[in-house]
Amino acid sequence: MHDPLHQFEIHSLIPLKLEGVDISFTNSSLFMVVTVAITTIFLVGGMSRGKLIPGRWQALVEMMYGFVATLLDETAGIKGRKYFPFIFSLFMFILMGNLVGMIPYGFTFTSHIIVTFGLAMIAFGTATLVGFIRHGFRYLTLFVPHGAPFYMLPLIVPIEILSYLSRPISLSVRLFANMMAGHTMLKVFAGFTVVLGIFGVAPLAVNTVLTAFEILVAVLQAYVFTILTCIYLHDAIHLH
Amino acid sequence: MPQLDVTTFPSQLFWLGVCFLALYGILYYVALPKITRVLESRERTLEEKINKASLYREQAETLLAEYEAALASARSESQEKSRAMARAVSSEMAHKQKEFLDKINDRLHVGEQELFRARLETGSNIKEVSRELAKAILEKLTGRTYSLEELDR
Repeated sequence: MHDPLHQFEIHSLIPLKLEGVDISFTNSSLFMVVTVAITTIFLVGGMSRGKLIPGRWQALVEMMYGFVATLLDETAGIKGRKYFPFIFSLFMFILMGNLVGMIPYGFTFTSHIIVTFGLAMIAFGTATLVGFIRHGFRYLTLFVPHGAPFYMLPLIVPIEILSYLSRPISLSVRLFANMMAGHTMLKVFAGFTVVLGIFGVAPLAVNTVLTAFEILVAVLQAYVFTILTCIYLHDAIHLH
Repeated sequence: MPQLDVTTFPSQLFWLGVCFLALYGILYYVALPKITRVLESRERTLEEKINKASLYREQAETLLAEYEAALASARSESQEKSRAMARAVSSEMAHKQKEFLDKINDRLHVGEQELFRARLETGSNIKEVSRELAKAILEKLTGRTYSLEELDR
């Protein structure tokens, strides 16, 4: 029986070294590049004709655009519109990465904690940067909730800081755990199917349902990641 | 667990950075301008069409108002004319009727006078004739001649 975690293994395709640090082009990197390529083809190809009355493909692209645009407008407000390209890139990258990972024999780079942490740091870092650029050191008042009695502040401020700093961790762990658990489960049931022979039909049926469920999770997690980033941006723009 | 293999971290982070930046660049400079251009042009077209439609509607409404005004004035004019005509006709009719009645009355009058005269004439004639007749009857009965004056007595 295959090791269910085998699918997460990273192997180098083109060995590369930069100042002694191993930055080899791996299967993970390959799927990141594939994701970027597919996203580009999807978006640019869909809009290539730019018709007044969209066809299916163009309508899909416009729906994506509209979906993320409304999401950003509703959570971060009008002032958040400036950051739409960033949010849209984030959403498309995670969504396409998750979906590309659903292809059999593919690799899901979002199932690696370091990648999701990197993405979370990009989101969190951008939000924090926006906050400091817009408000300067007044951004630190984010840690002082309105209406809190001042004698409680020694307790509340550290909690606020801690919860703020745990944002990238919760963001990254949520996405990573969801993707890894789903893919592991798929692989486990696939292993059952192989082992049980004719009775493998039962786990196969489960796997079919799980695959559909995983696609839902792939979309949902991309959405959750994006909406949380939008909320952090809202905090950075409006300070509560 | 391959996820905890720290030696792969630099490579993964490096390629994540490269790919995300590449995607951001592509979206920012190529894909999103394209989408916004299409959406804006659609909005513009829709707006133009809506404006044109409302312009046409306004024109149609003014046309309708003009038509209705023309219709109303024509109607009132025709009513006025027909009323005047009716008035003229009825006055003419009354006039003619009166004339006719007068004529009839005149004729009636003349006729009555003639009748009266005729009656008078016939009345005197009857007296004469009856006198003559009575004289003739007496003459036959008595066998003598009487003058009319004797008879009158």
